[in-house]
Amino acid sequence: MNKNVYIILAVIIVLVIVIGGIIYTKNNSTPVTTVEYTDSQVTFPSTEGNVVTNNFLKDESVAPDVQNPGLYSLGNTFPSAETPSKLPNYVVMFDKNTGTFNIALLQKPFAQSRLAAEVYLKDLLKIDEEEMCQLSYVVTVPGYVDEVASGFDYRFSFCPDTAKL
Amino acid sequence: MQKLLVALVVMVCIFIVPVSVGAAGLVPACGGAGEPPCQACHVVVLVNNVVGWLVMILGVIAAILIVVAGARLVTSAGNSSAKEEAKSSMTNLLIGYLIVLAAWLVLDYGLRALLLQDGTYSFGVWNQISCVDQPLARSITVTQDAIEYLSLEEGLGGVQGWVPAGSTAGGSSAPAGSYNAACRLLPGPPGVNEYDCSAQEAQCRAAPGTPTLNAAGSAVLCAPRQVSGGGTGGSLPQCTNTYCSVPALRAAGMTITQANVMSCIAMTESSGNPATPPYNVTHPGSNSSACGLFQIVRTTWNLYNVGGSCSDHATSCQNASCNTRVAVNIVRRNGYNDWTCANCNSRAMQCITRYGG
Repeated sequence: MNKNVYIILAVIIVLVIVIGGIIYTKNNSTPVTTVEYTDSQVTFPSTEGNVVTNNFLKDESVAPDVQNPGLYSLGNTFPSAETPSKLPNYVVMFDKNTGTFNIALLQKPFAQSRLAAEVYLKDLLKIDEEEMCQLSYVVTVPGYVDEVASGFDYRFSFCPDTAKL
Repeated sequence: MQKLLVALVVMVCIFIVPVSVGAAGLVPACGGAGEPPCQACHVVVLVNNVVGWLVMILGVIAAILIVVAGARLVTSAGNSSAKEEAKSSMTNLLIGYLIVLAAWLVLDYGLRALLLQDGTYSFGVWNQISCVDQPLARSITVTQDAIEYLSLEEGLGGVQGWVPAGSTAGGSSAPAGSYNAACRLLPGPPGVNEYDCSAQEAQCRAAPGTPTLNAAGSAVLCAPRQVSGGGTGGSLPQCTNTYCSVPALRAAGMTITQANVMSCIAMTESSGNPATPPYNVTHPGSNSSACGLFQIVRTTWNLYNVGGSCSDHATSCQNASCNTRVAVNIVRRNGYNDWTCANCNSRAMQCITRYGG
């Protein structure tokens, strides 16, 4: 065999090794298992790959809960004794340690409150509905608002596991 | 001779192509009746099939050309240049075919690398690609009963004759959210009461609810309708955040059963939000001071006070740590009674049934 054959075989072997290397790297890019924060973004673990949002904790509508470190109020806040007011439609609490969103619906009709919370979160996180469904979250009604409606996780209205409100 | 060879190869191709296409099934079976819907994977299968088919055709052509080269070698009859030419053709042919096979291997390897199989990049029989149904949308698995929340408030709240069942004298074992209405008394013989409940039953069904007559047949209890497997408590989620998750409550001093039950109760009481202010702050005029994660009222707080920075209900009930410490004290000394009392949230009882073992 002449040297051209050796060159061709060598090229083929190199190609196979390169492709194998790419596949190996692809298989080993494991998703994050806990929520990760950088200056500009937040990475949430998900069964379908990571969900990356902007760092919404820096948004001016987000406020830390001074009594409970690691918890943040997103958007609406509860009225206080100093600033009494009507309950908002919903409140969203975010737990920085676990990366979970806790959405409480506080005004009827609950379907509209849920929709308002979804619109707010979508705008805050800058992610699409598919990605929102992959977040760790609960949508519930507290018992002091409506006993019958409490005790259910209604999920987001556009997610496959949603419950009608 | 060269022209004859080319003509021969072309003819072979023409005869083989239709047969091969049919035999190999170049076009993947998808999109037809009883077939899976076509997806991107089938394009890759098509490319793979075409590549495999070309390799097969080239194998046939190579075999024919080797035979021709062999014939030329045999018939060279001492003509050294013809002999060398035939040998050279045969060598080049073998090398060429080897390159084709190697290229096929590389291409097949590459195609396979682009496809997920069973959720991972795997390699099996290397010239076969099997398409499986790809997920149409990203989805998550959530263990939750099918539920539909149907409130009677919009249908019966404020309607003349109907009052919330909870407000009836003497308490009630009616399901939460039920309404009561007295039936119309019919004119009849003296001393004999007869009632007509048809209007109330119709109103209840339209609410929509499930009407039940009382023993005397004089009133209708309208209960919220349970829909599609909601069972007695829907999903009853447990809290997952840092402050009321099962591990957090375990760390605060609850037993595993208590932690499971109370994590559920925290969700039904406050949606697991420790910042929930006292009820009378959000509902001025109310005398309820239920506050924080477990919605503990001031009197109960003082009764089970843990002291220190948690002693004052007003300033510390929204502190998750204080609220949980008081809850631990309550559960240890009084069980779940403070959450299952009359006029308390009936979901607490369902949490106990579900998670109380």
